Amino acid sequence: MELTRREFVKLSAAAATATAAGVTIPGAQAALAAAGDKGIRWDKGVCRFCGTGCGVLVGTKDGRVVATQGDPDAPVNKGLNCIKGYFLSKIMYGKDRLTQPMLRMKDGKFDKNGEFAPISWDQAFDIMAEKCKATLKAKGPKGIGMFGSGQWTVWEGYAAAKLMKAGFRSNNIDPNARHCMASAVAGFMRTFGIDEPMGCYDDLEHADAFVLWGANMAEMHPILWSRLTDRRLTGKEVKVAVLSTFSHRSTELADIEMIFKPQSDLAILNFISNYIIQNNAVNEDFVKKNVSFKKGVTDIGYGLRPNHPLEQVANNNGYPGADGKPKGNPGKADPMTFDEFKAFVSEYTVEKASDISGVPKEKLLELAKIYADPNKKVVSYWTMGFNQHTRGTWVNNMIYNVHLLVGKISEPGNGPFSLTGQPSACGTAREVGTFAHRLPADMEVTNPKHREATEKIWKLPPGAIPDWVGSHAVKQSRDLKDGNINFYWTQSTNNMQAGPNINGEIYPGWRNPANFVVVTDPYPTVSAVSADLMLPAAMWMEKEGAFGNAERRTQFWRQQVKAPGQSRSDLWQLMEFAKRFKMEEVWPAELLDKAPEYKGKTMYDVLYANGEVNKYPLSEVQKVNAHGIKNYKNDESEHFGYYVQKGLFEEYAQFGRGHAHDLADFDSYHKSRGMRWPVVDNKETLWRFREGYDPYVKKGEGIKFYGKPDGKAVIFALPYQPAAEMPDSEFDLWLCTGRVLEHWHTGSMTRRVPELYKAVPDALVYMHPDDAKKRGLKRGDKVKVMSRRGEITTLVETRGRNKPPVGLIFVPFFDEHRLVNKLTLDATCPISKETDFKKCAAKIVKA
Amino acid sequence: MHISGVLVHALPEHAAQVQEQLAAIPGVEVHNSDVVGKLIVTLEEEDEQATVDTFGLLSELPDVLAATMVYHHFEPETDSK
Repeated sequence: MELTRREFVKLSAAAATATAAGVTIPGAQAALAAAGDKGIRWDKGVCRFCGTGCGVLVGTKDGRVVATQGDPDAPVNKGLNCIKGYFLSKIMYGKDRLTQPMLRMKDGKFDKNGEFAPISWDQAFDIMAEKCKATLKAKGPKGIGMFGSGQWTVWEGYAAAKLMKAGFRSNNIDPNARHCMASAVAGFMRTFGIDEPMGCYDDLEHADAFVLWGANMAEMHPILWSRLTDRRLTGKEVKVAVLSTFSHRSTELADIEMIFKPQSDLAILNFISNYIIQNNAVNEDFVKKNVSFKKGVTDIGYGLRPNHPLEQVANNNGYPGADGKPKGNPGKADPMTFDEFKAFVSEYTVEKASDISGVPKEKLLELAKIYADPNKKVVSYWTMGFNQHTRGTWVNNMIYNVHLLVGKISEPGNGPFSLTGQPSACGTAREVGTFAHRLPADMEVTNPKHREATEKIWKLPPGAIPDWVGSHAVKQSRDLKDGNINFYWTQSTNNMQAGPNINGEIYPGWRNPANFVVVTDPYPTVSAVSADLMLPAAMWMEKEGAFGNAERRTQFWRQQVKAPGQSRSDLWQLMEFAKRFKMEEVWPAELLDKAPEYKGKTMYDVLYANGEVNKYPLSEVQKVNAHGIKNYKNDESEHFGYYVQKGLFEEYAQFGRGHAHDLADFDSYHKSRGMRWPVVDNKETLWRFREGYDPYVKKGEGIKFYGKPDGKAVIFALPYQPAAEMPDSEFDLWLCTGRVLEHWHTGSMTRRVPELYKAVPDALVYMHPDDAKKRGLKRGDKVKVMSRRGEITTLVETRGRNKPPVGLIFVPFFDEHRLVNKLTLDATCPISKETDFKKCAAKIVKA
Repeated sequence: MHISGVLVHALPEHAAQVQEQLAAIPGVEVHNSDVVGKLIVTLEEEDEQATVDTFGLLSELPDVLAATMVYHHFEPETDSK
């Protein structure tokens, strides 16, 4: 049979799809082959977008990425691709790429109110160093700040943390992951004493039931959703429950759909715990051996400014009280017994949970039974619905309560699993420790032993690393507004669009005449144009990189193409800037006296050319990567004269090896499709804390939650409490923000792909038809959405993929022309300091 | 010529009607697969925008649970053989 070219390609497409789906098409040969792709060089890579961590094959021709496709050999996505991943090759080629540093100037000099004009890198570092040094002189290390990213590569985050914490001796560095993962982190640390999920994506093929708590996986994690859907359709009696404050694409697959009132997830979780106990479904052996119980303090406030009325009356928010001493500690918890816990949750009857949540009793019972049934393996998934929550740490603790009571954890198909939104929220923000309170491998700046261990690896004299917790994301905005931070540098993030309460808290700080703000980004984002200096960034395949995904998988890629113009990677920028400071300018004499060999040296010498980071010669770059690209080079190594990425990674890996965060050696990641840590003896770990799977659990121990000194996880008694701001007679609607499938976060990349932009050009306000009618509105009407903090103008959508109940509206945050975060409230979880972007009060009027 | 392979999931009891709806979209072809509920679909379009639009259309069909892009091939129209 002779096929036309068109028929041949079509058959190839069908065959590839069938292979990925694990089905066969009768009669079709696997006529795959990257057929006809003449002259295209293919190499493995990792997607730039969400925390799923899909493997992609990247096709390069004539120095340009021309194609990408799902990597059939990648265990995460097995060749599948979402619509954003499909257009990855275009994200680097937006027409308005920044290609040179741009400074606000008037009459040839920096002027805060000047116009952006191009300058050289030398001039850029001159003005930065001048402003930074002036601030250090006037205010010391607390006067400078850095806002980084879960999109930083592993080595970028590591180099940045080192620059701030060891070089400038300032813990005022925080990643944008504070806005998305901080509650998950605090939840893990509180319950297990060690961060990140115990299970992995393989659970998707083993569970009998999936429960989504505030995660619209169909749109936000489409590849995992495809795997979940597959399991639902092919497994025996597999059930899916979806809990959300509005109906969306994921609810279409739900056997149990539960639309609950905002904040009432706390009551539902306590009801499930109560149901399990009342129905004798507690796994007593498991609980006796592996669990301890604690009662957390309440009355912890809402992370608002200390003068806010809600904080004035909170006695455990940790803010200074009238006597100047901290008012309690929001994270405090005291031991209790199982019986006391039983009594605590006993008030959360099905009636009470139904009252608070608005969910019918039958549905609540049906869900509770899934968790209680000893023969059903359950995975719970959550993302921002849990994490962006003024009780985000609590709600993370409370889902663990449920899994721990029934012992459904740390085994194939059973476990709580926190999904991530950024490609390296885990790998960089969390594992490297770019948070204001953290050091690498889960260590903390407030712990003297942890500082000591860090100082040793970093070859620093004792006392070099400051012991104070730096300002977190929201606090940084407040510090800028109040003039406490005067020099501020952000990389790979867009806080002027993604941060809360833009008008009230963020913009005034950036434009405060006392402050100098630097933004590193590939594109002129809302943040970049609000800054004083824009630095052009090399992105994604324009540099060698490493990301860590949600299942603890560390994945590497090689630099495929050159960045345009004078764009440089965040890593290059950090390391070059370090050259501008003599140690005498950043360390006090007493400290330098303890390390006299550092006198007269630059920060670059001490932090990077330290015998470790510069240990691997340039020749290794080619050698390590010869199997992937012939005569391979990367720009940073060429510039600095050694294999920068390998040196940084190997120094960083010292922190985790032997401490349950083991990473494999650098070279092996360039060969593999990633490995899940701890990697011991070159073997990855799929399920932690369980004998037989986790090398840190010895023979005969069965289960061991070794993050805690007593080897036991903690069940916390915590109550339901209302949200910080609720609808009232004037602002009569709940406002929830979030994402859509086609755009990633603030759209700085996806809005520059014409096809994705045209598919979903504007952020609409999704509302119930009855709510529209009541206000005299119909679909397509132009309206103002207003809160106490600001307003935006957009169009009404009463149909489509999101269907809010009466009383709630949803507006996505990708659209830079409709900044919904002008409306949101900067209330955070007082423990994790993560903002609640899902709940504030708003109203809608015709525009 | 832009040709894509898309994996579409539907509940087995709705698979037949989803298949019918899909087949009614111009440029869409549904290939027989041996698992009910997993539909192997190819899109044939003139440009990428049309590909995205059609992909969006089929994702939003009632009873389509998930639609995932797997394969995409583009080449200028040259011959017929």
